[in-house]
Amino acid sequence: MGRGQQLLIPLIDRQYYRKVLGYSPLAYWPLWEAGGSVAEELVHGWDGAYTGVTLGQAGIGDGHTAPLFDGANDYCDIYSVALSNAFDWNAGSAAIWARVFNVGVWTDGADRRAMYLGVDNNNLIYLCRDNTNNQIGYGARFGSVSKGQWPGGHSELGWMHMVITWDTAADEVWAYFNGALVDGVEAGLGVHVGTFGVNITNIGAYWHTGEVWYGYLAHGAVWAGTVLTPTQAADLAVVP
Amino acid sequence: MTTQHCYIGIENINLNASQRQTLVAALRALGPASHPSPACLCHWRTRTDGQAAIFEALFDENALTITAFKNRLASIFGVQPDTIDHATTSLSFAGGTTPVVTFSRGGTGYLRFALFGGVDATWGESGDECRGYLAAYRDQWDTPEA
Repeated sequence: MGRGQQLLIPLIDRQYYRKVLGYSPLAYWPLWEAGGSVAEELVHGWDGAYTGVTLGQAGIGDGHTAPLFDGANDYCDIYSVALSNAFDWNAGSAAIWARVFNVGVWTDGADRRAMYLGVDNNNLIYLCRDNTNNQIGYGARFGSVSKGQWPGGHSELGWMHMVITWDTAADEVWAYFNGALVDGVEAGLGVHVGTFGVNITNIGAYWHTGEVWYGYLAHGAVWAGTVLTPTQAADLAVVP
Repeated sequence: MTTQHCYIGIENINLNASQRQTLVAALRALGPASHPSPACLCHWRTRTDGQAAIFEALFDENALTITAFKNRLASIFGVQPDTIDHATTSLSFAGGTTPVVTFSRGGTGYLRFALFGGVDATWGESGDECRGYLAAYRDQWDTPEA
């Protein structure tokens, strides 16, 4: 092995995306494109499709860029039949890095979805900026039964890492903010019905152009059958 | 061609479904056919009742003039453009100025058009006005979702 290779390999191994892939997500959209409408999905090629976003903005510090969602009419559609069929509503995790555009977003009264995995209005999983001032949301609604965490007091202008996990057998929903468990474990999950709906499986919006994120998003990922542990959630909140 | 990256809004007043669809199709075709930035391609958001929409693109400024809209409406109605009247007012949704034009014919209003931020607005300023408008009318644009 040449000296150049010896130097290069440790650098490559420290890439954040490799860390994410190391936890074997079902699907992973880094959102690092510099141009075009395709949001590359690294695991299966279940690429998303950008609408309206401004690509190439400052990222989480991993050497890659992130898109800006304008809070009006932008989204990244990640729906696919394959994703829907492979998704595990009984046990799984979802994670994303999110950053608001400015401090005003925290008090603008809008629901702003960072990630929304929806069947319909009664069966869904989301990570969001809630419409209550300075509040974020982690939601899992199965069979119309809403569980999750909606912590307040937020005004961050930097990147935030959000993770939600669900496990119906254990009857638990966990939420993590920047790697730390939020409040506690929610129990009493309902029973999920259905598969993903077209137009309501997005990064950066609820349905197409509704409840649009205003700011930056990066490294969205979902896991099927894998409930990330507190240690794993904490590790994913660290770059690299 | 002079371009402006901005947000525009339309609200149907008295166009019938066919006329509205023709207009919307024409507006969706505005902007560049291809562009490396998705933000510059024409994209839109429809109000929950389907009677208003917001478009964003890197528009040809000539496509956003009052004359251009009169020409579109005249074509839809099958009449001469000079039979289309207009009245302009200015509103502010986020500290900027948004001209709102109501197009009418024979005393009947048919279409309202807003150029968020006005002709001299930057993309950010136009976006601020658009977001301010959406905030003011959130109940009409966001489906209630607990």
